Amino acid sequence: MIELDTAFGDGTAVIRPMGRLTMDTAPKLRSLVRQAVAENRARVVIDLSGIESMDSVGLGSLIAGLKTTRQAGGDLRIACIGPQVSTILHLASLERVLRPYDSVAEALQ
Amino acid sequence: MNVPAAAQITAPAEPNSMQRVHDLLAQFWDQCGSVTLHERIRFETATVEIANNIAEHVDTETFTLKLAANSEALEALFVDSGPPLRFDPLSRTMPEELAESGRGLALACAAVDEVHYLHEAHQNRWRLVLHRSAGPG
Repeated sequence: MIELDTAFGDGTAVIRPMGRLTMDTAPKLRSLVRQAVAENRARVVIDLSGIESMDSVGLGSLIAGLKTTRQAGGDLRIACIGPQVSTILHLASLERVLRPYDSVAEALQ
Repeated sequence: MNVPAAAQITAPAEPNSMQRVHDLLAQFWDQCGSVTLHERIRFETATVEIANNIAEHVDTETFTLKLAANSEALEALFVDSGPPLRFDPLSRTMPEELAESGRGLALACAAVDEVHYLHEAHQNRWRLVLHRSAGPG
């Protein structure tokens, strides 16, 4: 399940995937980021607090979203990651590209 | 400590089988008891990535996954009857930072201490090993 929350003002969107971010759900996340950008909300925060685990396909969807937002002059930030996502980012050496924020509010600043 | 533990499935080699892999891992962890979070994350990451690869890319009807644990190591053994891989899966490195795919096998290799692949007797066989002394939880 993935939730798109638009309550954070003009130009921003917060997306909250729940459960596992894997090959089943990653296409939906990509689609929601494209939707947000199409609605002129290119500053996207992915709130990962509800994610139990993420695989390489899920990680690829975050990278795809990052590129989509940056091409529109925005950015994609991730917030509230757990130890599993932290490990995946570390193993993939992507902590600099996808810098995790402690909270959604911090990521929106 | 509840180890040794073991669990096994044979499932269709298709993406829908990934739920069964996750269910098997959950059952396995219940048996293992004392596995640290660090061990669990790394072993599960490697196992899921190899399962993803078989489910997505290998032309075979089914695959078998066996999980085993003792006080020394966690092990996963995958067997399928697909054709041999046309590349050396153990030489895969991480793609460039903004690549959207191509990290699965490299992640698996990075997550555990040993990844072995061979094709023999018309079967692909993967063996993943995480040493229990790999690090803190």
